[in-house]
Amino acid sequence: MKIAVAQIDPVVGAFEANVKKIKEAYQRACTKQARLLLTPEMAVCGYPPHDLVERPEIFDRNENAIEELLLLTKGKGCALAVGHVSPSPFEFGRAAQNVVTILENGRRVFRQAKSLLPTYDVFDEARYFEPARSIQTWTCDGLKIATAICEDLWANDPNLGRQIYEKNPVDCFRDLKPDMLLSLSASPFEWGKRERREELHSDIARALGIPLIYVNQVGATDEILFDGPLLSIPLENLPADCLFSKIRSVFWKSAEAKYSGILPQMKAGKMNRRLKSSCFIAHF
Amino acid sequence: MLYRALLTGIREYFARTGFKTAVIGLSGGIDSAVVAVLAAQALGPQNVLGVAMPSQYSSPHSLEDAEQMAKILGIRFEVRPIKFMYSVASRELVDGQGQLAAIAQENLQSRLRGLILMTLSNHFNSLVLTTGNKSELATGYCTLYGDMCGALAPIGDVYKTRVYELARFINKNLKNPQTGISAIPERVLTKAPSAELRPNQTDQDSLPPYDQLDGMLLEYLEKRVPVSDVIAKFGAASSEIIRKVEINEFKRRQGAPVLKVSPKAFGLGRRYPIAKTWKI
Repeated sequence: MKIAVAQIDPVVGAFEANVKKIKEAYQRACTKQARLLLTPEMAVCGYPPHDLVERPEIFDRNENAIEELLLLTKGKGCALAVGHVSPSPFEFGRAAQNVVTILENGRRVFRQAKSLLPTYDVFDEARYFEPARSIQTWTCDGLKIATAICEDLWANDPNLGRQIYEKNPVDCFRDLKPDMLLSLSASPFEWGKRERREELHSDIARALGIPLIYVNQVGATDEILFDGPLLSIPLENLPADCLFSKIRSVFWKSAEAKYSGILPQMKAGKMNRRLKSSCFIAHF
Repeated sequence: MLYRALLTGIREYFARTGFKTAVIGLSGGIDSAVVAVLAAQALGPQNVLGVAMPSQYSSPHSLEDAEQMAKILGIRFEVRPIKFMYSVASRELVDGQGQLAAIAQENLQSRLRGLILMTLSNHFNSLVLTTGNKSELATGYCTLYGDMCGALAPIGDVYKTRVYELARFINKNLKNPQTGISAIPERVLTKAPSAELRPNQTDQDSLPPYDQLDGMLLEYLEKRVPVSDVIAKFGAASSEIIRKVEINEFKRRQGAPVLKVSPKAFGLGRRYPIAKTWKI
């Protein structure tokens, strides 16, 4: 199966601009005949939206965006796993959920809410979101696919200091016996985190014995920075032919310093456009 | 990685808030030098204005270094001395009788600079980048509405010792191969850090050496080890530092957003009460 990953830089609140970025990536994914395109967490409204989640308008704007993306997938062979904010379906609890919906041929074929809501340091998700009450898988071309959203795979982060979650969604994934695990993320940069992230996700892929594809957004919003990356963790014993087995980290790529006259003149850094709007393909 | 992270933060902050140009107070010190390099590279040198604001306590080398930096980076540069404003304000505020308290004198200088930068930012429709580092913000070695003025604190999560590392990294990577001239003049890296708010002042009159200070802060802020353990490791001086961290929460609460690059940055991710009674 060919899976494309959109490593984009969603802007908080900019539904139209974000949909445009997702569309661009989707078109590339279709050109490359991918079966599925993956976006980062909350790609439609940007992360973190903070108290914008309390604005009643947010759900309408989100719905319009999803409708537009649904139209896009009509008649196409590529499904779209998109991260967004969603009204909670439950009578009690917080009003919203942080979800991934899979859109295929103009239909919503799968919805999974985030189970673990980080509420420490810069994160405040329990303030807004209702956690998932169950975890399901989506079957695509006979392959069982599990979807995680960011924190769902961080329960064993050594930096948490202790086990802060009662249940680890990874145990659920193990019981469901999926063929593949996807993770949509919006995971802020801090020094030393890259190595920890890679180790944590490799451990999960190894423990489950399945490939894991991880996408994190790029860019920055207010005080939070995002460095990607993409992770694709295939196992040696699987017939995995992965085109991006190495981590790609895409902070702004600073242009070469240009020198003129006696004193060096710097040119403003340009983001690597190819990486910014691109999607990457993995074969499984 | 840290350098590119900070570039990303500055660039996106401006892009997403719709601003193109930045104003920076260029003191001739290492913090403003590093922020100026970051801004010049993130926004383009033509979009950065460095302002030197010397006072009677500024040493001649400070102005020279600031001017030299501006030339090297190709950023715009202005000199706005605060001497006259300072003498008027300090006299007026005591009706020409006696003197302002020492602390008020020091902060007044910093606040006049804040006023100049904010006024220029209005005038040019720019954003002010504050140049404070994490060690300063932690200990409150900074002036509210003075050097803390601004829209974004690019190195507010970078300890002073790391600012030096960053400066060395910059000079290694941004060097004119023909002339050997680096982005930051060597003297900026070697001179003793000073706020230059009174004669012959250095940061170490008020703070322990930065390698020790940053060690204490790392333990207390980031690793959240008990105070007694910090004192056991760094000596009695650390209890005064921790006291400073805690009594200066009111300043940080009003400060510019800090680009987060560490596991525990000031801002969203560290919410301590201001009006607290908490034994250290």
